[in-house]
Amino acid sequence: MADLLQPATRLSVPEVAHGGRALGSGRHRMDRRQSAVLDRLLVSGRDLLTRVDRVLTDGGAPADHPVLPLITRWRVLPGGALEFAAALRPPLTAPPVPAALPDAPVEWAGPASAVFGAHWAGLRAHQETLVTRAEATAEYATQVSDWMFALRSDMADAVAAALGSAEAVAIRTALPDGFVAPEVVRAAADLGHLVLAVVTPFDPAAWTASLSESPYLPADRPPSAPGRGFTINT
Amino acid sequence: MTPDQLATALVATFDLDVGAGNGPGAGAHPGPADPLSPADFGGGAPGGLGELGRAVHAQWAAALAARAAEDTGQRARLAATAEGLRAATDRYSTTDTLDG
Repeated sequence: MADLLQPATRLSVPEVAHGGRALGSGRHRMDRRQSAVLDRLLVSGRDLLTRVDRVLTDGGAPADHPVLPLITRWRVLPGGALEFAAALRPPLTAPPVPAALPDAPVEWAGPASAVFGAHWAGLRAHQETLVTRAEATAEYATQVSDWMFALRSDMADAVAAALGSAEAVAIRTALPDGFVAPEVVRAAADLGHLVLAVVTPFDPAAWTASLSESPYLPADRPPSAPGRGFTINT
Repeated sequence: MTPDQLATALVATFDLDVGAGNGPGAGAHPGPADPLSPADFGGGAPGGLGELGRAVHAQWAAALAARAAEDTGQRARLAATAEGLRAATDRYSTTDTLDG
């Protein structure tokens, strides 16, 4: 009931443009702090959005209301969007980036030198690929973590605004299992839009190529006499 | 740098386990201590959001598995290389010229 003691205000849906925020930016740091707020709002937010979902299920939404394309896009009601945001557990921790191999000028003369040179060149080239893959994985972890933090932060803002809104009062004071008045339907749709509008996509397909496993391709090398010189069996 | 010096540098830099079947060695990264589950990506949510969460989790898990496999394979190759360099150093003391 504490939510209802706050001044009831009409809702306005802010422009949401999170995801990909610059690391170290003020907004990025705020997202991490605000993300934790969502856990504290979860119980009261879940109660309100459960009611909103029920009204939307029973009464629908006004024609051409902006909540409708969002429900269609995500195939989820506002309560499901809250559960999605609340479940996210950033940050992701990427494995370490391996060291590069030196362009080692081995002081070595004789037939085995060419064998080793080709082998070493192949190892160095593969190591460079592994470094690139590891760096891409670290960047992926950063991007996904930023997306999660931002989504949780924006969801916390939306739920806080919803809890203190006039629309929440209308939802909470509606008669259960009775006639759903048009103003209640409108209030539920507005609250649903407020919540669903903060959900932004993340495109896994954009990362497929840079995260896949890189096979090792041994370098071509001249044959060496067995038992003599540099031999390698990998 | 002599072959033996390069072998020593490889073992030290990558903390390789040379001579014991060329396993991954102590320097191999162990992977995340507390791997995230699909639920930690919102995979338990309904509709398209749950699908998105499961897709991102699957991609993250696959990326971690790929990095671990790459690390294991390359460390084994580096360990075998260090072992080969040391063996070659011994053999070449009589058959080739070492300038170091």
